[in-house]
Amino acid sequence: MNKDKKWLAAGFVVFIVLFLSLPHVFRLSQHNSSLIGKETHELLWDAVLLRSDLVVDPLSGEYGDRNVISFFIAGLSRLFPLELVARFLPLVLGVCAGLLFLALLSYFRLSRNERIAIMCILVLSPAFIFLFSTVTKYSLILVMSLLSLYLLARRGFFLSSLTAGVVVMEDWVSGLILVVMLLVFSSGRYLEKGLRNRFFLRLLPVLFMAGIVGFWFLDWELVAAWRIPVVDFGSVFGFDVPLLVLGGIGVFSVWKKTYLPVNLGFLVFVFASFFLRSAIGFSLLLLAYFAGAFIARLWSRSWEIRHLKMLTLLLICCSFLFSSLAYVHRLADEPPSPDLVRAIRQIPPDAKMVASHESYYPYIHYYAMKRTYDGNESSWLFMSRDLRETELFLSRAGIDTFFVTSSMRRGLVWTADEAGLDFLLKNSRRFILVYSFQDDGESYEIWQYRSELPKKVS
Amino acid sequence: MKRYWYWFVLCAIVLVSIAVRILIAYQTDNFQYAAYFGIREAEHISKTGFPLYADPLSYQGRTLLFPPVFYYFAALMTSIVGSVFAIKVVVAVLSASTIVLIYLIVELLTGKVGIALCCAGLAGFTPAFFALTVNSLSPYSLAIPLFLLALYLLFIVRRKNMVFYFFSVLFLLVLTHPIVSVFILGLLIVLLLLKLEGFRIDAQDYELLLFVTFLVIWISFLLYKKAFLFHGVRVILQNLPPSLLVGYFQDMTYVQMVYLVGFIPLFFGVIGIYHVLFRQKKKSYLYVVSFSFAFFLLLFLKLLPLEAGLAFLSFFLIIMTGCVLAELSKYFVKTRFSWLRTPFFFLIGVIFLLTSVFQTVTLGLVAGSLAPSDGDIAALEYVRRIAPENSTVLAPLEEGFLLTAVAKVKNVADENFLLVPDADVRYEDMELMFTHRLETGAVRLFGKYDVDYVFFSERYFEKYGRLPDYVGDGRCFELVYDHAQKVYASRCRLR
Repeated sequence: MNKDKKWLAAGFVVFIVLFLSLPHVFRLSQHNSSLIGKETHELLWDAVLLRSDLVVDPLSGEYGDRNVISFFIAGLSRLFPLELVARFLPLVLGVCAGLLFLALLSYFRLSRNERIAIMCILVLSPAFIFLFSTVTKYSLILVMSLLSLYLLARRGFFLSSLTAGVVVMEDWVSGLILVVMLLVFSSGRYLEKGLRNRFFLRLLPVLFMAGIVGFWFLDWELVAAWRIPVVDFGSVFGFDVPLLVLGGIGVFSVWKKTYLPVNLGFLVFVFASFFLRSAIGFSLLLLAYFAGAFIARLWSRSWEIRHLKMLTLLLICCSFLFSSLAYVHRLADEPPSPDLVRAIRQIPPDAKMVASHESYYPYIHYYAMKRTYDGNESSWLFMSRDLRETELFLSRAGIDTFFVTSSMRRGLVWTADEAGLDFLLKNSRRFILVYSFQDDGESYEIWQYRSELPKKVS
Repeated sequence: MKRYWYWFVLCAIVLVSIAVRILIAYQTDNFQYAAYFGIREAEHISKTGFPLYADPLSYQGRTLLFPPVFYYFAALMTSIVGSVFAIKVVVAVLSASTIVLIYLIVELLTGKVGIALCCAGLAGFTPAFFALTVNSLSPYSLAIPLFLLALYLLFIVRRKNMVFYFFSVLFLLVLTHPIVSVFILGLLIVLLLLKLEGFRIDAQDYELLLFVTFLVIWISFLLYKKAFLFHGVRVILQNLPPSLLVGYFQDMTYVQMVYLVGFIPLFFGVIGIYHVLFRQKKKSYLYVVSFSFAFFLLLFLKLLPLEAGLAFLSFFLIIMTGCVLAELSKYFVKTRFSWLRTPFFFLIGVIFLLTSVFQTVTLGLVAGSLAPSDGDIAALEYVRRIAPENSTVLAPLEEGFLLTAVAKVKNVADENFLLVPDADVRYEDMELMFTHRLETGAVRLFGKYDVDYVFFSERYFEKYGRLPDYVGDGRCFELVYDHAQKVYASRCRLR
């Protein structure tokens, strides 16, 4: 590696560290020391179970999820405090992802400006910030995928396959995407142009088989619940509008010059991101590549309207920076808030099982270490206004505590005042309010169910 | 005819259009209901220098999001003219500026001054635009002229210094109305059509498109970031409750199109589009066709309010009409029937008078009559005097802006639903508060929204016919204003 490349790499390490620490800095400045997001808490709880050598989750009574990243965290938490690992592991993975991507870019015929633009866009993108500021299995998947591609480029075929195996273990959809990427990458690099067609003819049955397998295993509920992975429209994990626009323009501007499978792969991955979280990380790499290369071309071409060049580039930079900083700020505000953590910690020690909206369960597991009810009849329970039947159900299910928030009353569970179980909580003497907190934005309540009415004190 | 005569005729068309607008607008002293939002903003800007983004009265206190340039313009005019009601004249002048812009665009495209004058005449009496802007304080009064000016400058952008003017106008448009996003869609369709028709696309076109796209994206995100996050992509539907959506983003029917666009512009405009796409392929005409397509597409997908979309579409169809008339004029000269040219244009003029002008005036009169009566204003001024500070008054949805502007009290809801949580629940509750049969139900809802007074306007009686039953016995609702309008004070709360 020559000196210039070393400096470039060092510069990007600093840039990545700076941007990835911003959500934590903002969060701490708001006196919120909790980790960001639901998935982080889920994976940390898995790591806690692993560290304690527990095969069965004592809170859910089921086998705990086993993610490679949980093993990493559990292993490292023997050396360092758990929450410290949860903060620094994503950061380290982010730096690794950035450096691997930079190294991979050197295998493409790209100018220095193009590489810088691509890297800047990658680091500024909300998906990258999310992946490497929170604990999520997709961060490890992306790093492993990049490592696999890099090892393939270095002709380390065995190690590349091994790394790809880790990706398949973690998430089979990502594994499938990676296999396609590896095939495209290797064919583009090593095969002669004339052989490519034959190669892709052979690839087609593989993709067809993968499609058949995917069809059987695909979670159709997930597909039905497709969402728009655009952070500017409220998504937490996804792309920003400037990246999508520039990436789109970038790919169409070089449509004829680029290797067709890459173009098609780009469209397929971006489309797949609307259904599968696994595809977002891979789409991010392609979007950053096309958008960055396009910006570099805008910089180097001579413009007919001369004043416009700097203005347009300035606008593009402002759009990206604005979008990223706004996202960082949002990510810092993600749950759990200090009030929520405080409220969850108030769940009485004698509580046997807690019922709430499922989005609060990871926090209840992690902070209160209480069992939660997530049976099929939870929607019936929350909508029930029949005291007798509700009591029967509660005794049968062993539920004795309810964690209720104002978000649940504003549409998460109920859409009207005192609807369903909320009416019973407020009007039956069987339910006792043991904790209540309210501020301008949110309120939290803990209710306990008593099968026997409290005796009146004379 | 000498050139100054053409200018004289143009001025006459402009003056007639302004005169008709003013005559209609001054049929009543008051503005249309929706205009009171603009009046309040203009007053606030005049006083403080800033728009009222944190409104303590609308929805009992909420954040507003809107591009501010039009309201600054209204505030400036109010300060210069001295009265907010003189704005009617300013809005009429502003709306009539579209006539000059259409004249300039058609003259530029066809090179025929006479045809440009004909089109200016058509533009002076566009039914949809009249209905949209007469007696109102709508940002469209500024946005449509700016849109047309941006299009004109786009045609002459290669001339010296025009780039600067083009960007200035575009920047103003971005800060006037979100309709600017259609400009991007139009430019995209231009590129697509140019490619399909085999034209060489200039690098300049790409450069402009890229710049405009990022300018609009960035400023839109600066202005509407909260709304995008709050509503997601549904922000396009402006968070309207489902029951109101049907009326706001209406289906477009052919009859409505003829009625709101006018027969002549629609007939010749469609022929013009066909001619440009399949016969005479001319680059500059393709721009106009693309913008027509953009608006038609949005109307077809019901992503644009019908009147506003048709107002824009009308102007593009008028430009295309100019193209057809220019071709017909040339064609007549080549045939033995050149003597038919003048009668033909005369006939078009007569048809236009009978269809568009008549429709325009009728629609203008209807739009002008959609204003609160003097009695309503007097009742609200009474409410302002008697209602304690921070009182909440219930009034029908369309009178929400009027309530905050005249009575200076909090409303339960108005027609701006952006950033309102549970807008549909609130709207349904509001409807229930006017129609509830049981006093307890009504009192419960009055307590939920902390309503102190309820205002029954003339329009309420036109819509519902009679007062709701629950105000009858006078236990919980005390009559405090008793004329053609009624105001009741709410005296009970459920515990």
